[in-house]
Amino acid sequence: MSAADTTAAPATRAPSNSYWRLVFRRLRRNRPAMAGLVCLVVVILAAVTAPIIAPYDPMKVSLADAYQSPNAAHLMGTDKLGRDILSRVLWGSRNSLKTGFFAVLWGLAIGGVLGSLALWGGRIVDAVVMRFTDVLLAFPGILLAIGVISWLGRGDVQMTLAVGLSLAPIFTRLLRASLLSLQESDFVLALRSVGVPRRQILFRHMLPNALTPLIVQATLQLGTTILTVAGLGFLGLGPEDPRIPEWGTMLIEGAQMIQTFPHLVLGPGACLVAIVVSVNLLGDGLRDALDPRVRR
Amino acid sequence: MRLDPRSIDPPGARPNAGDPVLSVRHLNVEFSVPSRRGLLPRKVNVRAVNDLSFDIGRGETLALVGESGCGKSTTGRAILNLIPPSSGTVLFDGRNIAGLEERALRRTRARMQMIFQDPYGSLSPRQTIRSAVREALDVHDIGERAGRSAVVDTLLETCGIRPDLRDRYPHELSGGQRQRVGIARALATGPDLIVADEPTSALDVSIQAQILNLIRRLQRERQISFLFISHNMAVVRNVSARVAVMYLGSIVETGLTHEVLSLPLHPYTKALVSAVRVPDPAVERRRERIVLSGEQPSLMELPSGCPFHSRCWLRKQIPTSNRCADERPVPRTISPGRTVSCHFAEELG
Repeated sequence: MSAADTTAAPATRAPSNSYWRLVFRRLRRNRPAMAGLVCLVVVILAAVTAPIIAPYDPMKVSLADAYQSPNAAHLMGTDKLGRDILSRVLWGSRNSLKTGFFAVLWGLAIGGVLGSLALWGGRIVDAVVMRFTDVLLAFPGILLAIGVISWLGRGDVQMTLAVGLSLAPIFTRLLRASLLSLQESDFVLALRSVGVPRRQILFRHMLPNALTPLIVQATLQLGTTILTVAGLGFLGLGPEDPRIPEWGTMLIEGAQMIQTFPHLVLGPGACLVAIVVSVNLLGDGLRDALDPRVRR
Repeated sequence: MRLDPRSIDPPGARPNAGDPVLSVRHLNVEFSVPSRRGLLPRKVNVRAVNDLSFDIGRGETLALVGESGCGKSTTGRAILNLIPPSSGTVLFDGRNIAGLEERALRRTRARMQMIFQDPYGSLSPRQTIRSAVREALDVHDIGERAGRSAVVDTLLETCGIRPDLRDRYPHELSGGQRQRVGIARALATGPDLIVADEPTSALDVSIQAQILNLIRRLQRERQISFLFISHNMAVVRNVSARVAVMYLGSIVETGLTHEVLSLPLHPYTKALVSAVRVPDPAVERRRERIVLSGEQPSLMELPSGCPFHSRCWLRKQIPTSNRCADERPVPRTISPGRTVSCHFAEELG
């Protein structure tokens, strides 16, 4: 037998791993990222089970109990109308997470379509799409969202659409950039030389490979988005019905009394910080775990 | 595994057997790049491949040799129309590739394939190697759908991939194994011509020999024509009967590999050949290296006349003539199958 009939290295490892299993294995070794993931899961669980675990009705006014400091009956105290802050924080997390999540998804959708279009449509489409994202990027995200809300009106859905739109240019540019570099890569050249149709190269090969930075960015943006949503609530653009618990609205109410009753902002503020920190830790961990250059 | 060129038939030798598979005439490739000169941004045309003409016969291998940046890879890609040529014709089996529209071009691509230098970069990281090879069959609808996975397995086996590796991802394989996968994929569509762009230069020396042996087996058993691009003369003499030496976008010399190696005519080829180690220690000790001074000129400022005259180490022997700087040499046929682009090839001997 000549050397050509044997392969180079003896393989002693177990059968092949799928890409995602490998990513998860790498992620699990990253402690901060796992802490972030656990924290995020806890928050999501709390949001989902809020109707069960919340000790009080978040909208129930009880003026006799107003401005209580944290105690055994009210773990986070009560606000100026005697509503239980813990219950309001729990219910508010549903709003924040839902709006944040769908806003990022919406931004990803717009960005995905625009980014692919920029690459696919040739020079002129590319220039138009890029100038459009330039215009969107020229406004600070929150300003853009305020503009859209003042146009569409207040409400859950409007808020989601507005914040999502302000995220779109980031995703568009990111996707376009990674597609552009993939287009010049050897494996796309190889696919072209094999004769794979352009559409198949884009959808089956380039987009899945361009997903990595998008996933990381989307995770990191989730934190920012939840902050933006709270910020809009803080600016008075939250839910129209003031009884509905919303973190941003709770913060602005508490901020007026922060010197006398600091516990008013403590609950929602701490939760906000926890979510943003854990999402960032997870995002950083994902970036390392997804990077194909860091092997095993 | 030792490779001794004298103990075997010259590999890939089959000159003048009928019509050539590939016939390249006056191929030019230009890129438009932003100029760094001057205040205002403007674009400059850079000619990476300059008036190239050559033929490859059926089952024959032609090696394209030159230092990096001389346009070898660009030539290979232009032949497959992965980079559009700016002028000239590329006749594959008598048809001009440059004029084909997308659909016809894709059909033709089944018959001309490419092997890449970087075996990691040329495989999609999210695809098992089996599905990478299979995709080539699916795209061109080759064979019965049901029988394809058997075809894929045979191909991988032919290229020396053990069966238990088939469902691996590229990052789980070694460099040599990946290159074998790249070769299997190139073979899948049953090509008549394979452009091998430095297929061994990213590999360890021991693996290089294995891949070269694989390529030689394909030359022998499948009658595939190769355009073998390399910067390494020692590698070339193991796989190719004929060689074309490139410098700065032009072919400066062509001929049978053993002739070019034993008696290079062009001053640039002489320098290139002087860098090749000789197996015979007695000869090796007497070997004199010709080291060229300076660097390859920028493509943006091509020298006038002969592209090599600015670095030519033999020019001082002909002090009376300005021909080198004034007149661009055309390929002259010295003997059958042997051309050289140097005004003074005979005198400088």
